[in-house]
Amino acid sequence: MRYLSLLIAVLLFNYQSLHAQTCERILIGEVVDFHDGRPLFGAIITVEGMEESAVTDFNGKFTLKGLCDGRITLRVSHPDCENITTEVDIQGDTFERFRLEHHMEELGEVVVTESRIIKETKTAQEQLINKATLERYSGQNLGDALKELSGVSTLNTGNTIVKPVIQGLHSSRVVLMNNGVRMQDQEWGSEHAPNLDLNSISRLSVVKGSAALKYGGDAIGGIIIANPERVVLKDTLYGNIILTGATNGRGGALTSSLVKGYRSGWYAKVQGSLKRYGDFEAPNYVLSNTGVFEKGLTGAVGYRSLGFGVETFYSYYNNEIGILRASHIGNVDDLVRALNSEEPLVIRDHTYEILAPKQDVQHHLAKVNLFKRVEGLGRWNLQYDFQKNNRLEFDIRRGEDNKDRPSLDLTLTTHTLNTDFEFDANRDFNLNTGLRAMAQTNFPNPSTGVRRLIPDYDRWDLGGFVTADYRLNSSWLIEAGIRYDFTRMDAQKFYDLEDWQGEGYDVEYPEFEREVSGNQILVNPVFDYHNFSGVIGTNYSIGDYRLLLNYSMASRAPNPSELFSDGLHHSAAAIETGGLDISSEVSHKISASFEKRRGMFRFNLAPFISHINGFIQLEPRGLEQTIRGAFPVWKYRQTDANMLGIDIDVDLEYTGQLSSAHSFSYVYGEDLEREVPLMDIPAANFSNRLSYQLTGFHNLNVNLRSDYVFEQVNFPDNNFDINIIENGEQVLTTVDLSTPPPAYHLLGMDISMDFDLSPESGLRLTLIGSNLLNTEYRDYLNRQRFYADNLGRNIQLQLKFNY
Amino acid sequence: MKKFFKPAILALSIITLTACSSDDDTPDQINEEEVINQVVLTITETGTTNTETYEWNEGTGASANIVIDAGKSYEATVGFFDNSDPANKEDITEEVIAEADEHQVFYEVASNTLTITSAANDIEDNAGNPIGINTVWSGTGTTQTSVVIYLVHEPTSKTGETRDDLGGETDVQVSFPVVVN
Repeated sequence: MRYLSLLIAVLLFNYQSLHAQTCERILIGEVVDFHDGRPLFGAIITVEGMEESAVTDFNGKFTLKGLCDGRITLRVSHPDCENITTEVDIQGDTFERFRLEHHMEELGEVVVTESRIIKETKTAQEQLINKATLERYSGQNLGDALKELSGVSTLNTGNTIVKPVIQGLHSSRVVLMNNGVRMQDQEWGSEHAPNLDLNSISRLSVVKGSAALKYGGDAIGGIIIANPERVVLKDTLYGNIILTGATNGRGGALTSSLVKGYRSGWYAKVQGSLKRYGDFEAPNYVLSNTGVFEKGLTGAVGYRSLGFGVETFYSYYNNEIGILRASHIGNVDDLVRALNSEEPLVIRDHTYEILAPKQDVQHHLAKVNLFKRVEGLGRWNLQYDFQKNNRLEFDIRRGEDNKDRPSLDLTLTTHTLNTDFEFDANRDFNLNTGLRAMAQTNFPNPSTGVRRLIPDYDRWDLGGFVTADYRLNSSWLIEAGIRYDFTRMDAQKFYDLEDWQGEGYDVEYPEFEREVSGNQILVNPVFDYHNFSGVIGTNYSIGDYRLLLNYSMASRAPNPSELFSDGLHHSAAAIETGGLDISSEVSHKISASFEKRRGMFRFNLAPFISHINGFIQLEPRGLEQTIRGAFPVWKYRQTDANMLGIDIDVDLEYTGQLSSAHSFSYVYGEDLEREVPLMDIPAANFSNRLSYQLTGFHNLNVNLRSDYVFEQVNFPDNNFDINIIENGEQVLTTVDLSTPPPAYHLLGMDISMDFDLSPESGLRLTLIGSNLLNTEYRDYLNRQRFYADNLGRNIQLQLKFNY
Repeated sequence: MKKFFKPAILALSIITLTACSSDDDTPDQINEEEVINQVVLTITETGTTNTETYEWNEGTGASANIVIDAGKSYEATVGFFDNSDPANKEDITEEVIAEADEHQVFYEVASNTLTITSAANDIEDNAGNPIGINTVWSGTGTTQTSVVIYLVHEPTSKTGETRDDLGGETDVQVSFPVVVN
């Protein structure tokens, strides 16, 4: 009590002595969730010793006026959070951000440092996208939103099939965690976008590299961790609706969520979205047959208390995606024709109809997870998940019976069981250990009447890990981990007998042969892979600065496409074949991150260098003459590769209202055997954003964005020559599939304003413009760059209603 | 604690069951449909019954030189076949004719000594375009040349001087050597 009186006395003294100065200063503040940076609505801010108080709005913002220069003590409280008391230096008008520990009830632990909770790893490069940013992308998809982060780019097929690329790597090298479930959605295909509704998640983080061993040891590129919003444990019912309309594609998206929580710990939530677009448009023409119809539904019911929690979760995702008609071609001559043409060879009037070629994908995900906290020891987690992924691909086919018959019909069914124990009772030492078992079956439906691109297979995975981190003192933290994964691949595949013998498989793998039937042979390849992965890193913090240093080793078993693929790829006019002798690829990556995290000038420099043994890639292997004409043959082969790169982020705050953010990414990869650059490495890019914020006026937010993508100058020459008849004569023509398109610059802008409708409900209006100058451009990492320009100008209007 | 293991055991048994159930199934063999692996050209000298047949087979290419006499006219008919099972050869030409609107046969000659035009009895699509199944060939001089026969699916145009003018996707592209005497 004596101390308290003393404190009050000191504070009063402070207050009185400062009151003599000019007291017209304004403090603008933002209160955000400790975990995900989400703004907290309804937090109460009081200044000790003064009557002034403020409440945060929907964006977590508040304003306190009439303050004096000097130090004040603030108390920030929120019904769902632990209160904090903190001192703030007022020097002129001031901006300050406060983080509140939002989920303390669940975690039941004292938060010591920011890095302890917010990150999936403690020493690796990691970035986060907050909810407000994700909501701006409500009408687009996951890949588009991830592009906000430096070092993350996308591999596109048009603008609706968007795969994330992390520091130059994608597909099976990127692991996607959706609400704690590792997605098994046939991610190996470069034209297979993640089967995830962006609107079902509210926080998204990216680990650049494999350091988050808990999720797998094979994430050579990185790990994307998507999580839905957590439910607040109180008697509550709330929801929101986001409606987006877009000029390009002449469509929009609707998403809505409803959450019911009880103080007792029970909660339920449901969320659904619909997205419908017609043909999109490049600056000068319609991109025919690029419409999309996406549907998503998620629901969860759970109970959570301090010591125990259980949740059941289900999500359904369905997406019907049109593929640019002009990109479906017959042979290389058709490809040359497309390359020589300025415009796509098929341009029709805008329509909402989606015809072949198209994809129709469905993903079901169901899971049950529970945790039990053991007092003074830690937390035990157990999770079972079931996933069923069906992919239909429709080509242009001949014959009446084939009009609505898919050419590819793959169903991937996966069961996974995960368990782990987090020993987190010690403040300075954490240990996490766990096991994962997975059983997977792939069924390619023979009713397509087309030879299977990917064969029938069963796959079993069994893995275990131990990771630990230890805080030596207030500056130093070290982290280390190890993981082992066993994978068995048991496939049944029909090979063309000639191909089987031509590859020498009959000599190398006679034990796989089952029976010869006509000109085909049924084989049963069974492969076991033993993969080790590990991580070691350190985190050194001093003042506003932090240095992270991390070495991680990742091993990835070849995916079914790399082992078995066998067929014609229509949009590339290429025959792609796998290789049975492909082994696991092993990556060694050293990454660092040098950050200044506070103040008006903040930055993050994140360089990395990696060496990959047995890097699996497609390589050209000459031409094959068929009755349809000539086709280049591409074969999966292994090489050793080196990669290096850097991601730079700089944030500047000029005044409380005006700020800017700048980022630059560069990555280089080299095939050490062929001594050529790696293919499909994203070009260097430079993004700048200027933001203006006027909290007092409906929380006006204006962002101006500029994206400059350089021309990729490091690329392998995979061109080939074919004979083409021109003016009645055979002419040897080089088919240039290698040269990347020129650099381009895109300008974008968004404006948002908030309107309070009642104490409990609010409306946010957002206007988003992209490619404002209607720039014609093609991107190196868009597989349709041979056929058409990228999207032209797009204006989106978004309404978000909270209740 | 005990009750928490129940779901674990349940899940494990599901995994085990699924893993076992699919092991013994042998997948059905797929014999690729919609295959064209043989092009047959039947050439008859106009006004006679002198008929020659030339084949282009997947794997082996053109069977022989097409020989025509300069100054004479020939009636040619092209046929597309799936000869994967010679005992049950499938005529794809019928499908092409049934979908005449979506198909066009195009002949590209590497020299102007040979001219190929649509025959009076050629098949027409719904818009009245001859689709190039039946043609008339005539040659001049003495040359060794070649003709490339294309079957174009969903052409953007059904008329044109070069293959480029037609657009669409190439379903068949085969080259026959031609000798004009």
